[in-house]
Amino acid sequence: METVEFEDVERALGRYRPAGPTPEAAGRIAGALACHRNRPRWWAQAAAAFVLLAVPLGVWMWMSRSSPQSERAEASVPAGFAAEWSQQPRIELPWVTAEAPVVVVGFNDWLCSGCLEVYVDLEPVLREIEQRHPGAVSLTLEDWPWDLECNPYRSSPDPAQKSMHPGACDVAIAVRLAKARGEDSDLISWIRAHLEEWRTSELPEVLRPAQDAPGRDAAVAAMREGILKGQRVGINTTPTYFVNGVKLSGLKSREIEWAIRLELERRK
Amino acid sequence: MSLRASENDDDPGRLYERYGPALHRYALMILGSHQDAEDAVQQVFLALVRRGSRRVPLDSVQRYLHVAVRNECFTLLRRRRDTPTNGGDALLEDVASGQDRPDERLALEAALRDLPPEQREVVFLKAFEGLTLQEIADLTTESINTVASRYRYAMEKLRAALKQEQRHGDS
Repeated sequence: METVEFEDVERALGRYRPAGPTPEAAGRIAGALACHRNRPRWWAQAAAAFVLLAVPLGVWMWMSRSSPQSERAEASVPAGFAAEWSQQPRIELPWVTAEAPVVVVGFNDWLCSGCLEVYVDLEPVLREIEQRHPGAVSLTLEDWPWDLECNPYRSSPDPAQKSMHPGACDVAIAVRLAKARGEDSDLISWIRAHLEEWRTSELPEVLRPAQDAPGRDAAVAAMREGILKGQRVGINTTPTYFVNGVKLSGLKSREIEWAIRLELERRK
Repeated sequence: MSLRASENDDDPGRLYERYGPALHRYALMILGSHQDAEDAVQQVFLALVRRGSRRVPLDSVQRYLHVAVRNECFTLLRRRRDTPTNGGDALLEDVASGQDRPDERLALEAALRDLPPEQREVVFLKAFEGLTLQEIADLTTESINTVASRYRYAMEKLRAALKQEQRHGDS
């Protein structure tokens, strides 16, 4: 069954090997493991957990009597995540001018189901945080449509490469126009409910704004600016969120929430 | 051999030092993204830590880790079926310096990216790790015919990419 018929290809492959982890990545994982490794035995953990729960619980109950809207969040961030978070590299997003304690920048493609899931997961979280800490979190969503019509990303040197999400540029403009009317949440929910229908058919008219639609030029300019920002920070996955300069990519709604809460705590 | 996450040689930290880079390469070839590969490998080792003193009766630590990373990778792929990833992550690095064939490497990387993850995996295990088709079949729990087919299809595509690159180089 073994064959030598591909000796030429194997010889070419033999000149290379798959890339390994960067020293930074290896350090992050080793650090995370070291943090867990240094945990005490289970019975000591149980005892510590009891004390750690009982004391804050008592304090919380006491504070709840005078502050009905007590914090639920900081106690729910896993200790492991908190330890890893403090070691994450932070990059500067040079265009950010917001002065909020926590600055969140997300890069989205509205035809990407993962982006929609994270957006829907975060919406109530951010609303709750805004109620408790008005103005503490600034969220900006930039566009990263996987559509070669407006985004010259390349995942292959093949000049005939097709867009991963044809029409995503139009949808990005449609969402921006809807946001200007205060209707973006409804439109995004609608996209999420119907996304599967458009895998093999044309996008509906509501997601293809007319060339003369009011505000279109500004929406296009904002979308293009978002793409340039994404290129600057090397976006290669959506959704990608930056929380005070720390990058989180993929389906990480919980991690983004934890990160925001940790940063809020840090900046108190 | 049983696996125990404790202060002996099976300590997850030491296991990561010994096997981590190879597992990252494996995950990278399946997922096509360094970030995803890092996430997958980290999840496997953190799961190992969370097991505490639970013993995992397996015949080899290395195989256990390979299977765990593989499962994590394909779980990740199923979860994000239609989320494009990787963009411009380099999949390959030169084994020796001074080879000076950047076009060949790029052509191979592009061709590898275009392969389904299952075919990329077989290429990695056979061409880079030196496993036999039977060993790959055992690891992936696929039939040897399936593994052989995947390998053949993948290599034919890589050969076509190399020939195209050579034609461009000659012109």
